[in-house]
Amino acid sequence: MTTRVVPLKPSAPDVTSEKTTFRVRRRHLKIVLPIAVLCAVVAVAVFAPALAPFDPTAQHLSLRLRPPSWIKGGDPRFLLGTDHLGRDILSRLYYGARVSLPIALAATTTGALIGITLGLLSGYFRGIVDSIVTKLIDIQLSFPFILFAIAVIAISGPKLYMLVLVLAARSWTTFARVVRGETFVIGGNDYVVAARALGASQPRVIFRHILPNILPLAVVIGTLDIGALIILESTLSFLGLGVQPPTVSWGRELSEARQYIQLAWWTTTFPGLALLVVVLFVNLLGDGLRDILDPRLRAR
Amino acid sequence: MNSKSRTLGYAAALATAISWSCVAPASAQPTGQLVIAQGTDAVTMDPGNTTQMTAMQPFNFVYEKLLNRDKDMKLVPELAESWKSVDDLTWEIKLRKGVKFHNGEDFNADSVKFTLDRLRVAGTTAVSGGFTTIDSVNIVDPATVRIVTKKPDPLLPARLAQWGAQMLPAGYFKEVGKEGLARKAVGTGPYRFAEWRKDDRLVFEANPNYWGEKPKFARVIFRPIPDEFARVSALMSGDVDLVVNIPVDFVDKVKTSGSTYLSQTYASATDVFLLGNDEALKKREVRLALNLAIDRKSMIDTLFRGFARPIAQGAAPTDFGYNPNIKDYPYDPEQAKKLLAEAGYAKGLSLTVQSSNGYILGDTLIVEAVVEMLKKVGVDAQPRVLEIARRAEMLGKKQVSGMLLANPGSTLFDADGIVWRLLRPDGLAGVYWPRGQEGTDLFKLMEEARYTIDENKRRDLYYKAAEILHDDPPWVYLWQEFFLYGVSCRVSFEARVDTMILPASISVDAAKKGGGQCK
Amino acid sequence: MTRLTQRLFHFAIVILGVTTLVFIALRMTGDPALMLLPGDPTPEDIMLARQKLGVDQPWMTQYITFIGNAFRGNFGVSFQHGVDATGLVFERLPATAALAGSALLLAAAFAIPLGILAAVFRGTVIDLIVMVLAVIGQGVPFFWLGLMLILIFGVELRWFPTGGYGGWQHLILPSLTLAGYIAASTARLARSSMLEVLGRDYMRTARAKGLALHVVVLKHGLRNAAIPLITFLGLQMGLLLGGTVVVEEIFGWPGVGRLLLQAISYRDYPVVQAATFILAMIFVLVNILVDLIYTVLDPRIRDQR
Repeated sequence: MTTRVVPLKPSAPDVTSEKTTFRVRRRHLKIVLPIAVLCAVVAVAVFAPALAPFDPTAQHLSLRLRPPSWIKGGDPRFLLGTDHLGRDILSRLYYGARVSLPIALAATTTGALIGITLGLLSGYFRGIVDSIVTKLIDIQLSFPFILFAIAVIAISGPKLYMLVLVLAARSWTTFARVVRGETFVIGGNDYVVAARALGASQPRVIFRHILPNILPLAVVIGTLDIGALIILESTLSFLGLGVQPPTVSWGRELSEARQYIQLAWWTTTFPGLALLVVVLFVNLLGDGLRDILDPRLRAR
Repeated sequence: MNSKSRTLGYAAALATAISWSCVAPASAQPTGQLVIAQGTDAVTMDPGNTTQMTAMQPFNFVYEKLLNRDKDMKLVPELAESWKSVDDLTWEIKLRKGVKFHNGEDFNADSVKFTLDRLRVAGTTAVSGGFTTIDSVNIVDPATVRIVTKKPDPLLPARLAQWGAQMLPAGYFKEVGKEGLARKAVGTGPYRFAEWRKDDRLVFEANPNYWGEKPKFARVIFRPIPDEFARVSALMSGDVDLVVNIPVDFVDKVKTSGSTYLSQTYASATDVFLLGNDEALKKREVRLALNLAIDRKSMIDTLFRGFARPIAQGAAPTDFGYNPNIKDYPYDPEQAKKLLAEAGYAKGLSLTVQSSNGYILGDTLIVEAVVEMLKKVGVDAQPRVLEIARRAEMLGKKQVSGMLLANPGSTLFDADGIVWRLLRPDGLAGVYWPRGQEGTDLFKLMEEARYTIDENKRRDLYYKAAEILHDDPPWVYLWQEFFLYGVSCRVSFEARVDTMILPASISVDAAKKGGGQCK
Repeated sequence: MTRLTQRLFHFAIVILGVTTLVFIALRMTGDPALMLLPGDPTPEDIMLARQKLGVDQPWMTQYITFIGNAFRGNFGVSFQHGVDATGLVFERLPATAALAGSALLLAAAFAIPLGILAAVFRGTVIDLIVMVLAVIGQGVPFFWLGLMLILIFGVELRWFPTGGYGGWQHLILPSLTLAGYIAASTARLARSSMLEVLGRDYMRTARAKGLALHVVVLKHGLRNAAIPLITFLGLQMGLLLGGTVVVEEIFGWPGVGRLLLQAISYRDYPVVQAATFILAMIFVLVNILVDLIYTVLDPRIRDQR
């Protein structure tokens, strides 16, 4: 089924004529709020050096595992407390945003580029191309992901861009499957057939007629995918394969602090919340975009 | 010559937990069940095919060796009755009579010859490295063997008590082969093999025909629980009664719960940073500077909450040949900077600081803390986490560069286990260290000590070696590790410095429990 | 070629591709002899060990032997455990199947009805609650969820064991952990599939004819919404079998994931190769099964073929 055409299911058409204006506004609200929240997070990431009260790697070994400042035993200098090496959790959250978000974004983009290209080629040319691409997809899907991650990291060393590639490997198949299916459908549409009959070159047909119809869908998949990759990055950290020190990421924070989940709740709670909020709003944004961008939805 | 998986590191994997479900009445018959759970499972029942600490721990319950160590690490007879050195090369061992393997086979000189012949040829088993000094094993009579070594080997009795030296039944091995032995253990110990569901439970049952003190439990079960928090949770919830390698931050919880207590011991392992083949690291000033730049005390007090002790020479304080007159290095960042400047690195020095993740207790924490300290003396230190196979490759092929966290230790509790093993000219650290080369004063000391049978003379030689190792440190010393066990108040447990859990170290004797931590 | 043979050919290539890639990946990333030997082996030790393991041969020779034996289901003797590798993997399959199966069932049993409810009552509080829960479910890494469950139900309440393998009590927490994540995406998918179906003309017609809401939803809606759901759950099943490793680590569950992880760490070639081959086979079987269900559920697809 992995190679089957599985169009992303759009939300039901909810546009009835008399309520259009209201619904449209509500829909826009559905993306404005997530965008606002995500912009705030991006701003924090960008201005982390200015905002953070401490260097995120600065250790205060004698002040390990201090609770947030408002709790008894807390230190007023450390608003959200300190971690197991006495580092300021708030500062690490700020700096973590600079890593967690770009990694997921870069991985999704890479995955999208590979997936859309292969999906387009496969859906447009069909035949042998399609046969090869679907085999690639299934090989990727049945290849144990952890072995893949260990292999890549063992060969190259733990570099950030390698981590991006590992995550992208998990992400491209979704793009490829969906785009392939859509291209099948669009490729059979009258106007595409007509364009071909009129002698339009193949690149022209692909880029002018098919790609524009696919991009909105890809944006939607991409948005939904970012959330999943942020979580996946933390899972890789759990297995020791994620972001490596001294780089700070929310996923690494969460997984490294996991043994303190009971002794020092603040060490896991704040990075966990940060992850949750971002994944939540990224997903909401994806849902909102789907309602607005999905061309089939608009057509109805 | 030693079980060297210590250098590979396994500490995080080594966590052992014990529980037993029914309260055993004070009777002669073994009752109750003791569940011993570990960080990872055993990998094989063949003592010759693994060097992983956790995998060897269960062997103590089914197998026995000719000699063993008592709780002060003194060699004591187990399947041997006595041993003596006949001449420089020959050792005579008298065997215990009337002992039977679990399959009914007799334990006798044939078993000893079979077991040692299998081990003594390099490359035939994973543990052979520790037995290659043996030249031949000769049967005198069914209860006497003579072991001839290639050169005088003062450590031969210790070798017979070390990992891999478990006595195996020759007939059983002939019948089932290597694969059969890997699946099912047949030994002479107080418990016999019952069932093994890999990565879930390994079950032993009391051996009613045991030659020695009757087993205390009807069943002993080993269970692997990989996650540290889950392991401590299992202890707290009563699912499990003893956990090895309690993370230090859980110590208070274990001590105050009322139903669990803390048991602790020094371990033979020491944490050090091996130094690699960088040009700068060949200079004594640089190596000394690195040793002075590390604030061991504050790391021990905070990260390890006092559960470790600093070292400043090769051997661990519990080893034979440890020189107690040598003082710890002070924490002196100013002097470190000065030394670096003298060596020509006034403008700084770039070094990678490497470790595995989760294979040495607190490994990534140590690296992150050390990196920060090195930055303070102007060393541009880059932390790097190595996947374990990559790390093994670096060590195995002797391609270490920068600093690499390792935890060498002598399982023979002898300075030889660290000094000779790592610093000989082709050893892990010796290759990069000018003093370790052939013909140097240290080399002569090591070589002489290695083949000296007289204890006092050997000790003096190691004392001298320790002075050289302090004055011109081959690596960055950190500390001797502690092993922390969390124990349920339902059992008594005595930790041993070799970190082994033996049938004899666990009992249901209420008087010894908890030292006031039990309610 | 008929469709079936075409599919079988496709999957044969996939399996060959995966096993070949695994073969290469393993040999590029480390030496099993070094993992097996103690920390400071002599070069002779290494050579002897490599000979013994058969990894001293050129890759091509090893590969030909490997493929030849693999056809007979023989992947060799585990370096680490010293016993037959295929057997090791098969010993673990029941545990993994139990965990993955129960997690999938749990997820489906909760998520599908909730997703449908959310769709039917779109825009109401019910919809909001379900969706918020679903999004939270997707935003929580499951190692964190697992540890929380251990803390609450294992340590504090002591309702369930903190880990281990045995009766149904042992299964609850790990499968809940795993189900949490799947349930979240399943609920979202169920909702959107159902919404799409509800919007179709024939559904409106059915409603207009005066059929009760629950009849319309359950009889017509579910049947049509089921296709993407089954596709999704089938895909999850395939991924789950290899991907339960985190949950297995936390709960000490003796599944294939942990075996594979350890085998990878120790470069135990035979075990990794056997496990990946068997997992790929399962992936393929699940695919074929889903194909079949798909055909039964949707007559149009059947007719197209």
